[in-house]
Amino acid sequence: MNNEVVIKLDNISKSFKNGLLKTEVLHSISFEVALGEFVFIQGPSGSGKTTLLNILGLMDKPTKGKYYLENVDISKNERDHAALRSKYFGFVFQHFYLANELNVLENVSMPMGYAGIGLTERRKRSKELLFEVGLSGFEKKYPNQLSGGEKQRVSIARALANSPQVLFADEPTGNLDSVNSSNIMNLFKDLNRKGLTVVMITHDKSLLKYGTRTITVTDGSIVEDYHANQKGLYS
Amino acid sequence: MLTKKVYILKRSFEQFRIHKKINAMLILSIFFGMIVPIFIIGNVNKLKEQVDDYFFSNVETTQILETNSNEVLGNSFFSDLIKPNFQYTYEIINFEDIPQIKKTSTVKGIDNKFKKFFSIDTVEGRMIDLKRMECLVDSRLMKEEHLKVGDRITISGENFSIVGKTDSSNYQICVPATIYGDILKKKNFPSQQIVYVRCSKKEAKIYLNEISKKMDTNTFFIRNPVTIAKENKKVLSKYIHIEMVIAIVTTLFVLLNLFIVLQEKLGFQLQFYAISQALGLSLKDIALMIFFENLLAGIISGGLLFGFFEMLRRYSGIWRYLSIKTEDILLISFLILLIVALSSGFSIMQLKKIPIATIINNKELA
Repeated sequence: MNNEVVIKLDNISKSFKNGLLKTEVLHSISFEVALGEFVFIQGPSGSGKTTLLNILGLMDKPTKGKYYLENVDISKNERDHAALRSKYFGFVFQHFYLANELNVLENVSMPMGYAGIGLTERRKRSKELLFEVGLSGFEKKYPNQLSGGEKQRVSIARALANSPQVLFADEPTGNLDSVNSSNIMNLFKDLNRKGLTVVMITHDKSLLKYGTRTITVTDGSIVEDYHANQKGLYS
Repeated sequence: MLTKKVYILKRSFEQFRIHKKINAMLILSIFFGMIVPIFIIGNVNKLKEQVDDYFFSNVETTQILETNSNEVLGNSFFSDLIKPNFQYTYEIINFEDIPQIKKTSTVKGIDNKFKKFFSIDTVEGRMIDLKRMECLVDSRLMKEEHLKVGDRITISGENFSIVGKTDSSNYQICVPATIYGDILKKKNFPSQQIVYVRCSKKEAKIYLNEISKKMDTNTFFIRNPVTIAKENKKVLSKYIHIEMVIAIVTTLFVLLNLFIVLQEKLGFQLQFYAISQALGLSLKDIALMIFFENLLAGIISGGLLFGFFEMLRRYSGIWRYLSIKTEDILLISFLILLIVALSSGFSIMQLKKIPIATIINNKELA
């Protein structure tokens, strides 16, 4: 595993306003994600793990604290976040969010289109990615012709389209049966072995064995940061 | 960069197709909503024309000697009398028996001074030679009666060549005043002669007094164009104002409706925009995408409006009560297009308020 830090959160807090009521969902969270890690974020419902993942993936902004990407503080350059998301991150969602009107190949190539990559290159890379996730021959199919597991594979291929450094996954097996869950997790593991950093939310403890690190969040704070290969507890 | 824009454009078209029902609603609400204001604007223009027609240059000193007699033109006594102050004369008659023309049209006898009062410009062909049997026909009449420059029409049994097309749309034919006056006199056709004399009111009364010694003054009237214009304006202004208020209120209603539909539309597409942002699009790119989509809706609604009014202009008699040129309809259509396209900013403002994550994590939208 490479120890180079890709993301560093420094005293990150996040609160939501609901009328006059202000609820703090994350309290002064600090941790680093190194390249090549497979990090699980787990915790009970409402603990703040999804908010944490959203902040990590630059899809939400913290109320307080600093966000370092490759040692550069990007907390204040909100305008650059879209470009940074596109360059560094890939996202896999529990509900897949595939475009039903587009076929599998077009779905996978969508982030490349948004990044300004030409049609030929898009098609070539999409085919390679579909091969990588085990969906060769599915190019012309539409999402409604796929099983849940297949949809999630398409979603993973789409997340990998712009060769991200970090793949964020929000309960990617939440809508899948155990066989498909296992297949998808093996795919994530393979990608991680090839050097891709994975940050995943789960409430399924049986999946933690696939990761190299588990961060447990409770009531908006990190209560445990466990590095599996070091057999120890860290905070 | 261009590849990205092209891809965004493509996705916009797809979004337009996917949300065809709400887009159709948007287009139809603009189309039906804007028909009323355009009708009103057309009618207001028509009313304004009626008022403005009476404003000539130096109106304060120009008196109108109007007569129902067709003995005025060519009458040496009358001509000699008004000669020092004579400005312009024309003769009008409503003809319904021009075999080549079905529409009720006005034949106007014009002389070489008409330009002082009326801006009759030819858009095709040339001006008439006042000594020849030539005529000018307005563009709307030409189009509706399928006439062209070079054709001949029969007025009071005499053949006139169409030598030019004018830019007016009043169903009007212009012929040389003297030739036309002779024809009318020869055939005893009733007509109305209007003589413009540039003089003071006092001088006009002297003329009338002189005329009374030799001619039947019962057929003469002195009128002041300013008074007429003021009277007309007084009556018509009220209607113009009411119509303008209705036009503004209707337009505001259309705009309000537009924003409600856009808000509804945004609700349908919120998830798509959030996912697109997660996949690398910036808010600026999303704005471009919404702009393209709305632009398409604007082009279709503007096109429909333009087509509708062009059809009306060509094939419907209702156009007689309106005064809108093709360029005006194009301009209104373009403004609508612009409003719809710029309303993308409204959608972006709404989108900016909600973080991407909140939209994506909303299970109801999933």
